[in-house]
Amino acid sequence: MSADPFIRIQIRSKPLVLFSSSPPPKPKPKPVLLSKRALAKTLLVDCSNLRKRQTTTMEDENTGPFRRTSSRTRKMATKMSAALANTDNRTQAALARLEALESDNAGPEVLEVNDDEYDSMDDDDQVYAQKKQAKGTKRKTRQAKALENAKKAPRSFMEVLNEANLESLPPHVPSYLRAAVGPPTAASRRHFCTVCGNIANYTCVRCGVRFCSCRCQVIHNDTRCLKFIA
Amino acid sequence: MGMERSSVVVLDNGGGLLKAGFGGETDPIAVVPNCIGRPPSSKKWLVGDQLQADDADVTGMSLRRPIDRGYLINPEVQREVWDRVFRSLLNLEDLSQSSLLLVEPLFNPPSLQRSADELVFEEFGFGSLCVADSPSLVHLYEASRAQGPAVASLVVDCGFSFTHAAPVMQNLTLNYGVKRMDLGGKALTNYLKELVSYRSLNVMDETLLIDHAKEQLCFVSLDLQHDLRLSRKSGKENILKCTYVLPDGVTHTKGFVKDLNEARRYLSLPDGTTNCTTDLASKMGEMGGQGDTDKAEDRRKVDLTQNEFVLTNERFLVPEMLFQPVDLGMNQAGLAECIVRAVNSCHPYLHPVLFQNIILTGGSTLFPRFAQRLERELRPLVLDAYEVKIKCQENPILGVWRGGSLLASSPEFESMCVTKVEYEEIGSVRCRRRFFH
Repeated sequence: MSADPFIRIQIRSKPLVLFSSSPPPKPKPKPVLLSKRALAKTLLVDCSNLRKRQTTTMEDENTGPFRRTSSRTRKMATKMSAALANTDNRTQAALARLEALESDNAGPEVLEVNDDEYDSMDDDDQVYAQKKQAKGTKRKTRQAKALENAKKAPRSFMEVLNEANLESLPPHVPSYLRAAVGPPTAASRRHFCTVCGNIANYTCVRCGVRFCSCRCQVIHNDTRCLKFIA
Repeated sequence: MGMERSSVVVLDNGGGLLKAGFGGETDPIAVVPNCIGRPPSSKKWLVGDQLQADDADVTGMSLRRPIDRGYLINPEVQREVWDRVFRSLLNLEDLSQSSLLLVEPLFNPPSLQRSADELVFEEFGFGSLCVADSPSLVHLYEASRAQGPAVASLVVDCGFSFTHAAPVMQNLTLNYGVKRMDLGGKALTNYLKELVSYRSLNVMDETLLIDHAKEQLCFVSLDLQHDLRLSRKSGKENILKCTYVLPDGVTHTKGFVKDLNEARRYLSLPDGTTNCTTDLASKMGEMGGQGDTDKAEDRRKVDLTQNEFVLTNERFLVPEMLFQPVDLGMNQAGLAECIVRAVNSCHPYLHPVLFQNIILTGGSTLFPRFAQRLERELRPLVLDAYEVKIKCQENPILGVWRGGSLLASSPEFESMCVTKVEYEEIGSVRCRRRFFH
């Protein structure tokens, strides 16, 4: 079908023209016999409206009765919003790794069930207490449980540090924050291969970790590449 | 029987190990891990020295520590550990007759000081309390053992949670000169866990086992490139390779190094930076001997029956982190620079004195060749005119405790304490002002 490309282009160009003038076609003003001044006014108003509409950007399109996407505000979890905002997965992975160095080996939190209290009670009391306990646990919503857990959990040191408000002290008073040894004078670092540990000169293109040789690269691609990202 | 014992309980509340005993003695009675642990199979929490017992199952144990980043934030867990230590290990019945010498970290926030005071006076009911900080105690201990008068010294405490370089003058810690690195034994263990999990078995839950492996196998390398090249060799020429066997609950309950002789072969490396391959070969020939062929066969058998992992360059890469945290991505200066910054923040007249009296303390200094490496790194950073002398304590873990024991047996101790009556009258904040930090 060797149609004339010229024609095709012409045909295709028509819809493009339509879409570029995005606003819906405003009804043209009826040709009414107006005085010169009145005509000028209406024309001015029309032009300004047109100009406004023609310079609409994507966001402004989202208002009015013909908008394309919903504008309802949605809540997002803080971690998700942080993850989406900071699109650099590599720095995030590095930060997570450094934080893991400070972690304690705490297993899953076991809620201390008050088993000891009921050891020496009679059968009747025990049944009654269990019933009461069962009723109580049923009514607790997830939010209430979370609140309780947060209260029971001991404060971490960072919270205590923030509460102590050390920045407000005058500069000649030594404090925890001022005692920290700062960044090093020479910020150059050596990179070690993540597979074998030798000095690494090469970086994986996909995930950015280091390796030292082809053999290590092969092992990395087989097992670990993009494990945390994809 | 023990009536002549002074009634001062000296307690070094460390993040890793807790050292407790009576004042005046050379050694603490109890050196226990300062945590409670629960094996995955049972619901009972094991406290302190129960974790060190021979029949304790250490695999997969979940631990809870009262100390986070070096500061006591969880008094409930601490109370359980202290309970066990005071009642079962020290056999103290009536605490109101005893006074407590507590060693706290530097820059303890007031809210934590208050909760510690509550714990001591209200929960346990001690008669009196005195609070000291670790650098001054170490200085006191070393000064008492040295020949000449030690006016000032720089105490480098590489502990579990962090590392401090603190100048001490006349038993008083110079607060403004203290510099802190947030790296300690805990971070080293976590780093080793990460390396092993990445390269062989997943050991992310086995803190106690990897702690043990780190203490047995890790050392500090004097020349990193040379050691990395050594670790790349295969077979018999690789004298750094070592296997650690994890417990399987049936035959062994504790992990162990497969062959300690193998582990010590690196010591035959000369201290210099030259490649003395001929020396190495001859020394290896001496040590290997007839057991070589058997060992080679053993090694070739991939031992799938036992859970074990092999360590080569992790042995020296882990302590390397203390000297260059930048390698990990941490924006912190290394240990040598930390020392230099600590000294430089003091008066210039003190600089030569401090550099001459550097004292290494804390469990993480027990890595072999630590002092040599530190001197090698520190020497270029210090003016030629100053002399750099590094002194290791003979027992870095107990060093602080021994200083506390000395302080407790000194005649001025009684006047330094805060009694329970005073605490109840004027409260914790005013009491704390008597201790200068």
